[in-house]
Amino acid sequence: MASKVLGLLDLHNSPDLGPLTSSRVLASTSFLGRFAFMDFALSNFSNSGIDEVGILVKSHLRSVLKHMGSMQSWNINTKIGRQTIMFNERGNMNRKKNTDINNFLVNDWVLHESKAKYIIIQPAHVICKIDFEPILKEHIARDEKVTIIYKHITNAHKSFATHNLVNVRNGYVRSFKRNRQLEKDACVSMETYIINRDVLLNLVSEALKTNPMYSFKDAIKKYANTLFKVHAVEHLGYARSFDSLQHFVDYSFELLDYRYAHLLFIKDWPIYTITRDTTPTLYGTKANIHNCFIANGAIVEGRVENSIISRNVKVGRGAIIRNSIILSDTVVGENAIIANAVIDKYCLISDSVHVEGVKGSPKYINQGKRL
Amino acid sequence: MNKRIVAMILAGGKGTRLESLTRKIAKPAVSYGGKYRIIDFPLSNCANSGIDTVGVLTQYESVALDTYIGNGEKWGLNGVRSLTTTLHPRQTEEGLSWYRGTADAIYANLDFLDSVSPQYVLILSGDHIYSTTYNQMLKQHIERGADCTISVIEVDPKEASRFGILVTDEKGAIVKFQEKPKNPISNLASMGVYIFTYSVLRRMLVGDARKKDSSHDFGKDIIPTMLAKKMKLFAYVFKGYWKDVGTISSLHEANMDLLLSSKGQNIYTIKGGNTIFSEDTHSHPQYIGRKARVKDCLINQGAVILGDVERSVISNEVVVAEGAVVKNSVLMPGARIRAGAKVFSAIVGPEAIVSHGEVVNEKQEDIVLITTRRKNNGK
Repeated sequence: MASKVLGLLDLHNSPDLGPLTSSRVLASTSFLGRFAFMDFALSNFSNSGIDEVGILVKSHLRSVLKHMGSMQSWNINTKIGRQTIMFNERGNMNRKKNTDINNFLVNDWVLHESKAKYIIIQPAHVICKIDFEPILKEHIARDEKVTIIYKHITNAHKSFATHNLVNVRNGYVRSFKRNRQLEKDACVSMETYIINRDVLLNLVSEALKTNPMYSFKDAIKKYANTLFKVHAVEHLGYARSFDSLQHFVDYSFELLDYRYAHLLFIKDWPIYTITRDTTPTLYGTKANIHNCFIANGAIVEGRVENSIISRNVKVGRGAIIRNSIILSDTVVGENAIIANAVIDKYCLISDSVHVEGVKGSPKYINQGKRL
Repeated sequence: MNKRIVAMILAGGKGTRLESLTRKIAKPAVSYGGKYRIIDFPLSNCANSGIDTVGVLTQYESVALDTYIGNGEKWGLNGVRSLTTTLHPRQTEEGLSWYRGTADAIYANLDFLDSVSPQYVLILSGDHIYSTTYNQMLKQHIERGADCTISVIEVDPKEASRFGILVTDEKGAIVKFQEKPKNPISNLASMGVYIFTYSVLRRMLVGDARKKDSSHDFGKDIIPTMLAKKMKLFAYVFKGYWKDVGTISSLHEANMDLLLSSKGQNIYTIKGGNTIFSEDTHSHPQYIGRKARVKDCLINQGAVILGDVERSVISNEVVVAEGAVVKNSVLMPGARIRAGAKVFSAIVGPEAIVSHGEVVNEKQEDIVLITTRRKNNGK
């Protein structure tokens, strides 16, 4: 599959998670204590044998570069594979034009240098496991121009808020419409597409003629059934769209349940991430841990329940953490109490300090705060 | 290439006393500390010392070890200025010959050393656990104009007969050396860590290779010969944690040393300010279950703990099922402790299983090793 496919990780449609994504993109935000969101999409590419990947970055390039490093962790950034950061410099000057299509144009050399006949576009904020190999095979066998991956859900009124709904009949999308969150039962676009090279180039030039602010999402919606038919493939596995701080918390905790976790963490489908060579987690003699993900590098001497503890977090003696997510390098002092909270990186919660939110409305503490 | 210093890591030993743990892998590749293999320590020490050229000499069951070492990427030793290579016994015009001793292993690879033409050669063992940099030792070697500097550590006099023991004068010059003496004359033990000035080492190895009665060993042959010739040998006194794990019980003890409850040290004091580089397994985050009890443990990513674990070191991809109890034990990667099983004072080898309700070593008189695998892999 190596030379046939170019994978594009499109960060332009990533939702805003409020303060959590004020200084970083969702793609590079910490997930389950160990990963960044984009690890999942990049691992989908990598595990599907796609070695040529471009990452369309809209903003906060710093946070993306920090996570990517030499880019060897996910893909084969070697002599036969390539991973490229595509940054829309022009978009910084004109925010309205900071779309994935404009970004693609600024970085059109990526496609020109590639021999890829097919382009797969994937967002970073949808966490799922997709093997593109059989889908591409079908796309080629049916001689399709555009294939979209969608998911049938029964809670569209509460999820996938930023996505389009698709009306699918006989394997093709008949129409797209915005998810106004009125219906429960619906098919949602996963904003994941396979597009033939020439179709993509044509789509981009047509879109720019019509409206320079169009995104891929808009353009596919606009030109479906005129320039091309959109073949629809249903995704049956786990998929969640992380589009709010509440969903970030809820979906993270949902994965503490093995019934969900085993849908995402599958043998022979590794999730690659960068290594930091942190030591294994050290638990004290008075530690008391129930239903938690705990990352390496943590030192836990207190009580932690229904929570996610990230790399290098320290939990002092007598401290209690419940229903909370603690991001990396934060220190929780002795006898401190944290409940229903999201504590960002590098915070210091001093001895005996209480940080408590309420269920359904997590308390968020900014990166680097000292309390 | 002209390198200031090159490290040669002796990693060919079997480690017979580690029983079936080393049946298919060499001792330097044995798991340690939930995440590491023993050889991560000398390799990380090289990386942390800025030594960028490393030859790893392998011989016994070398496939797993060679694959693990690869191009040195795991320790950051794969940059444009670095070179990491494994060096095996090979077939030459004279025929095929195994490494006959530690000195012979280096002698057989003089062509490699010549090609990088170092000023100094650091000789290390691949199976010692300690975290340090070699910069101070090299500085001392250069300042004293030494031919050879041997890193030494003070050991318990009762243990001294297991080591190469040496005596120094007031300036640190080595005046006497005894290899594994019955009646040790001091408690300064050689750590098997040597810095040689390369021109001297080369001459000594060529001379030794010609001797028919030599066992071609640094401790037994090279060092005594150099002392007899009144060459400049100095001791460098190492302070800190250092373990040569020879047996199942000492491997167990070295693991327990990493815990917060251990006296005098834990993983953070042992590693000091250095990073121990290792393989990153692509595991899911470590999960501690609703009914689990976790106390005084060191646990790696990918582990799933649903039972009761205490005073133990637990590696990646280990599963401790609900109702299982693990105490004072080391669980190596992929070990499975089934529901209701009880494991006391044991090392459970990689991928080994303790079945439902099975009780291991209840009496805890000694440390036991469990290596029953799910499948025998045809071996």
